[in-house]
Amino acid sequence: MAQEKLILFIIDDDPLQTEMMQDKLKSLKFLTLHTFGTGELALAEINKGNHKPHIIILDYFLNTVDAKASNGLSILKKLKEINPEFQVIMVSGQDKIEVAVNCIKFGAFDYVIKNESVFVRLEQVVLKAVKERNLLKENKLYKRLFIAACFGFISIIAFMGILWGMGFDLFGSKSFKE
Amino acid sequence: MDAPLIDKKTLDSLTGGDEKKLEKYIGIFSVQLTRQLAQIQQGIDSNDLEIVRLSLHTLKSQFAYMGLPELNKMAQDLEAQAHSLNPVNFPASISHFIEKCKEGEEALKKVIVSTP
Repeated sequence: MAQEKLILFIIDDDPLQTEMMQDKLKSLKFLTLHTFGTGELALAEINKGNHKPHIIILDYFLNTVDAKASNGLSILKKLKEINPEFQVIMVSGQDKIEVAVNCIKFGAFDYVIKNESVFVRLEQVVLKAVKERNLLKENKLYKRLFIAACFGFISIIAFMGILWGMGFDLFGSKSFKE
Repeated sequence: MDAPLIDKKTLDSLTGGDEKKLEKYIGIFSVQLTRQLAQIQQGIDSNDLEIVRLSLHTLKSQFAYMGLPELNKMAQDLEAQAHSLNPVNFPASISHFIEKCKEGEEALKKVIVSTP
């Protein structure tokens, strides 16, 4: 089965990191990439309804260019309010465990620390997010199929019950009504 | 004074040996470095350690990507110092850091020239 096209937002105020991330993720052909320098710009794009992202890479500090820009954690909360299914991958130079725990608590899919292997790790996490997304989709499909099958089975039993009640000999055997 | 050591392995794994990519990254890095160093100087002059800390935080990651581990470590230490209320000899350490950064930038530019 072909992988569906997915929209990925990169929200980062560091042009070097954004460029490197784009170059790394370009090889994943099923992704359409959009970049934003602040969380506010990304939220405006989502609210306009132009693009609905499936996966979002979000930097923790976003105010080095625009001092008034909200930080990544408050953008994460807003994104999750709009759609709890957004898969948000947090990226930060902060290696403090409490920062990572806080991000996960507010619904981040994963937390990646900025170091020399960040881009390789990011690609792996994006692929993990896609895999989980596909699994959830399959699960939903199986759930629907199971409900449909249950409904069909119950309908057949009910129909047989009605026929039985009307005195039809369903199994070719002599019934107690005989 | 010795120029900061460049970790060619990190650079190669980042660019996959693509010279154009390397040139592009060094170009963006140079622009960003000039901007961040100016902000650091401005922060020192106005005694605003938060501006200094933010710029050091940004540079710290960029040094890691660009294969400059020594500068990465320096930025990391200075960022931690900027967190404290009264860092000792901070302006002098920053001046030394800025000098090292410029040497690092020059060393990176030489990598492009020396790449066959």
